Amino acid sequence: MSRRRGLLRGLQSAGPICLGYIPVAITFGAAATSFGYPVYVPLLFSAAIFAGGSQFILLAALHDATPWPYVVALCALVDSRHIVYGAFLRRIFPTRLSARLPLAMGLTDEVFATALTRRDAAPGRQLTAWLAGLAAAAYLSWVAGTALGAVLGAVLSHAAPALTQALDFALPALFLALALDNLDRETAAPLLAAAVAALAAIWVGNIVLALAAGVAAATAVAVWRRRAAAA
Amino acid sequence: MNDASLFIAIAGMAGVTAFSRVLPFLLSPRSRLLKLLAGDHPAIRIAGPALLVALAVASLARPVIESPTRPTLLSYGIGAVATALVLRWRQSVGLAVVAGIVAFGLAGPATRWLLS
Repeated sequence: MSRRRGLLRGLQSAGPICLGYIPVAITFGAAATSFGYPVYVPLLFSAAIFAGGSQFILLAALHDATPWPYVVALCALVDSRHIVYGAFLRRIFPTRLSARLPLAMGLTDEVFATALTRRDAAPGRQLTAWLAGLAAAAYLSWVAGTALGAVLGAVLSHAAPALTQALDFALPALFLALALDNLDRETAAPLLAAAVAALAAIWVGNIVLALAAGVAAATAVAVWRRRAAAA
Repeated sequence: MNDASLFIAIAGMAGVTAFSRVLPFLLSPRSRLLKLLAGDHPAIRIAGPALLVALAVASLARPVIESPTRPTLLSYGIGAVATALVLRWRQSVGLAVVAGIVAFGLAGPATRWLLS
């Protein structure tokens, strides 16, 4: 397989990722403009950060006037999963640091999951080209979807105010869908603890307290369950 | 928030995300930190989903707490149920979000009309 064919196969492998990214990116762009940000702001978010969950969290926090250093610190905890991805994929990445780092910048949950299917492949130029095609297509679809959402959101806010009002539910819907997507037998108990703690905290306090209480409660339950299982 | 703070927030988040992505490629394969994180500790694994759950609860509950009226409660409730059902049916986050927005958008006027 030539380098060019590797790149083309990488672009093809990214098809399902792009299909999943575009509606969420459109929602992100439209939500940001509905909060009053100019079109270039969500584009800057997507081009510079390229991490859907973190972008939505930051957008919600900015809209809510939550102190951003606190939110960035919390997102650093969430982003720690990227370190795990890199640790798993080190073997199939190119050996040259100048080639590794640009590829590493494209590692998202979905790119990692797709790249993992090639973890037993022989490292080389073709595999590097495949990874480059995969990451580039994912990145471009995310940025293009955001641009489309931002432009549509700005146009629709004037033409159809009812639709703009409906976009108030974009962030709750996204957080709910992502939260439910992570729900399984193993995570059910810690996530239930997170929900209860966050609800209690939002009742008496604010969103910052709710986020901290949710993460602390889930972490405590997860660690306790691991210790109980080991005992 | 002024423009300078906004750009600092975006730059900070971009820096944190980029650092988390390139760190494993900068560390030595024998690094303790790399082994700890690749070891799949439950506290690290659950932190991300827990943050999303807390955000979901906060973003759904706060509007209802701030404006505890029947239309608000029904709009957010119907939107949440539609999101969950479509996610379960199609296993697609994008579709679930779109369904939630549509249901929320329709539920508000419908509820107000039914209650009037």
